[in-house]
Amino acid sequence: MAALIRRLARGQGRLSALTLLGLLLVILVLMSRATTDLARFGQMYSGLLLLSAIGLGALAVLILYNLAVLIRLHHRRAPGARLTLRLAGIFAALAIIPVALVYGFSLHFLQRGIDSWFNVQVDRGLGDALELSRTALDLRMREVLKQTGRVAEAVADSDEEQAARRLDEWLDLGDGSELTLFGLGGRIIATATTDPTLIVPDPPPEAVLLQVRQGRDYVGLEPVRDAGFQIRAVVRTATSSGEERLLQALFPVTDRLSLLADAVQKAFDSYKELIFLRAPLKTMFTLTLSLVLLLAVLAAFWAAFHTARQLVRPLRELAEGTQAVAAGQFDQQLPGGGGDELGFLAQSFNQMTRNLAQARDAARRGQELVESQRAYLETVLARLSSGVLTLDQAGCLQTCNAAASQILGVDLSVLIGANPQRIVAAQPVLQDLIEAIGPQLSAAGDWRQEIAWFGGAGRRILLCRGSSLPDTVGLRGGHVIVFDDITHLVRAERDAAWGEVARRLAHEIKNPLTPIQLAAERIRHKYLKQFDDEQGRVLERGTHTIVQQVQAMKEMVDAFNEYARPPRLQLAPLELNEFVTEVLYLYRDYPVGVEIKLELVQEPLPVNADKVRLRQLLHNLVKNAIEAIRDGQGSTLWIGTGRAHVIGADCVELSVRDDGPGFPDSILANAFEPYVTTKPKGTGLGLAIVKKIVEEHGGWIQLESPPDGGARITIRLPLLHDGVGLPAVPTVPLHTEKEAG
Amino acid sequence: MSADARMTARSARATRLLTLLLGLLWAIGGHAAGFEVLSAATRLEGGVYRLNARIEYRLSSAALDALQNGVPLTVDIEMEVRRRRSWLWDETVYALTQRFQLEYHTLSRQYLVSNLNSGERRAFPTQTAALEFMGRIHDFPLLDRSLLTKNERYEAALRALLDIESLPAPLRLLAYLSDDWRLTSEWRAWPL
Repeated sequence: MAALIRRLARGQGRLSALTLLGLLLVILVLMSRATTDLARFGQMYSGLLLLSAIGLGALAVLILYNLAVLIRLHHRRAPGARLTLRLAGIFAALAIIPVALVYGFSLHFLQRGIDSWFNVQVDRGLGDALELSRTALDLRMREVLKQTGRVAEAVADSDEEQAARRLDEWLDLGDGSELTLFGLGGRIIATATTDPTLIVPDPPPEAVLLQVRQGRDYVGLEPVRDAGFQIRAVVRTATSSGEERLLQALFPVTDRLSLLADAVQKAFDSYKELIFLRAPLKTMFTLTLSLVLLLAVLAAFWAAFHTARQLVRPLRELAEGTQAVAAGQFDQQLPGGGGDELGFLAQSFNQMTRNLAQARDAARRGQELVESQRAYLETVLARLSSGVLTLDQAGCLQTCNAAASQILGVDLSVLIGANPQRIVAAQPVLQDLIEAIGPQLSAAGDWRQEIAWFGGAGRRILLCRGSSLPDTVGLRGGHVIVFDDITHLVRAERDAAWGEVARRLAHEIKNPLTPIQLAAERIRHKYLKQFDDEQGRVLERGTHTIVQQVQAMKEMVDAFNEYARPPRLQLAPLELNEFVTEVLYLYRDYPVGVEIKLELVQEPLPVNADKVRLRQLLHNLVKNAIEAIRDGQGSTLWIGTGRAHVIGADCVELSVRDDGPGFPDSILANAFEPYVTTKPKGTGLGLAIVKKIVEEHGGWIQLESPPDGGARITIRLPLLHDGVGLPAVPTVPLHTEKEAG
Repeated sequence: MSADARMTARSARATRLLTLLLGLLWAIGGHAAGFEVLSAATRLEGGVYRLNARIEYRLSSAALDALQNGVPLTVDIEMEVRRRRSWLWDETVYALTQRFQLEYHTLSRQYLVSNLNSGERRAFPTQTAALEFMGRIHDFPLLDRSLLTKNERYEAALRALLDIESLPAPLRLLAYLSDDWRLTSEWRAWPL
């Protein structure tokens, strides 16, 4: 039941509601018929009244439920509820006013109409007509009474058989239908009837018998079932012996008089009944009218609710759709309304949401495209071995690739968005580079510059190429800088050049040296005996000097050769700590006045190295340091090992530090170049060879003069992981570069 | 006179007054409108239960007024034979209704009583005579004995009522709502 009410209230059970209304209408029509045509429909009236009350009650419940739901929605501020309520109210008011007017007037006319049925003159006329009929019939009745009296006289003294015969004779003479002679106590003495089927005569009522016995004859008119009347006359008589007898005579009244009297009686009766029923009749009509009014009003209410909901539904859907769009859901489609303006609105809304959805999809696709392109570009940049940086117009770092960080030895990705000052504050090593690039940025157009820069991994030569970016949509100007670490390239070129020079010098110089030496020894051998002691000593000293100097020159040329010789490394795993201890064992007594201190870490430091070359390296470094200490006022040489993690790779670190005079600034910049030396007796090749060996092993070397005096050389070699030899990366390209150069 | 005696006298007077009032109420009640079954009994004659009963009809003024104004009144005399059951309500095994219609014939100034079951109609010069006739049931064949099960307890019951549904429609609503028209007698039951 509740479900039905809900369904009806939501307007889903429109058919049921219409059926209910239709049924109610039929009931009310039947009721109005019952009211007006009592004879035919009167029996149904009570049932109809009950049914209509139930139906109207159901309708009222439906409407109340509707109203309750609507008010609750309104309190909850549901979209459309307020408008629905207002529209329903307006519709209901519009419907109720004319209905109420019609009802009022109908009621008035009804009262007046029923009153107008009755008329004093008609009333009196009917009464008179009835009286007239009565008078006319009275005449007849008196005649019948007289006749009955005569018959009674005639049969008073007869015995039963005589009486029966006489009664028959009288019946034949007159126009009576039955004559009965009663004896004492109602005993039938004789009877005569014109109806042969009648066996027992119709006895007079008790009251009549009582009246006649008291001496008053009775004559009365009785209506007969079908139509007309019969006159019953009962007279008292007595036999000569004084026995009481009663004679009853029945005379039918069947002529025109009886028909007219009957008609008058019926008219009078119905008129009288009508007058009597006037007030209940008015009530009944009013009730029927009120029920019709109620039906109309309730139907109007229901229709008002329904119509209001129907009208508001597209608006509510539109409101919900708008909210959905506001919340970013563009797939909301409104059901297409009819061909009216609301339908047009719904279609426009649908079109709008479709367009919005398409625009959103297009934007999403565009974004995805941009993302993929960006990812593509980033991948390309990441794969690039050249470092790429972009700066905005203020010089702030915008993008960088992995190679840039790797080349500079600095994690640039955390510096994105930083201006040059902040970059320098965070990474002081970049200061020189920024200062070198700075002037180029102010000029428009492309530029190219080779920059020597001291980074964490020593001196580097960077080839920078820059270009200013156009100031267009999506690009707000700025610069793109592409740089390559050409340190190896430059060094390879230089090495190749030096190698060439060394070979030529060796060849050109070594060739005349042997004849010079031989010639000098021959001069000494031939002329020493011929000269006196004084001259002999001069010759001796002269030739000795020549031979000695030629020998020195030979050694120098050999050293050149050694430097220029291409490496033939025989790499094998070795443990650095053991190796250092073993090599320095040789120096345990040798350096007078120099104390060597080992600072070795207590963990294995495996490296892949050529033992011979590495020993040369260590000898060179130690010798260099001891000489430096002897030149100055120092006394201690520290040799340390350790592990380091530089730019994503594990390294083995070997450091040699002394407290000698240190390197002057003028030398520090290119101490590893050949023929750069501070020592009066040095060839200037010691550190150059050290550096060469380090680079042959894929390591790098760093030279510094700590502020507290002395000098420190740090060598880093790749760590050998789990005994697996790491390829000596720079070795191979060095070769190729050399061969290419 | 002591206080106790005074109290006794006062309570005696109050009791007399109360008795009088109750008596008055009973008298009014006794003459109030309504139908009443005065007596009812059956006797077995030739295997058939025959009913003899007397019913008093005291019509209300509203009903009398309607009768005088040409509205026929229909009286139902309902008869039932019920099987007594000890632990359930009684079962009605047989029901019969005798319907009488009483109307006033203006022209002849006669009261007509029609038995709607048999179609028989009789005229009475007075209303009392007509009601008397309607109220007397004489040897009415109620039920054949063979229709009843042996070793079961049966009872017969009788009541009379004014049939409101037979009134003219305009009067009906009023009749349903008004006490003046509720003229139903109590059931009078007796064992068969």
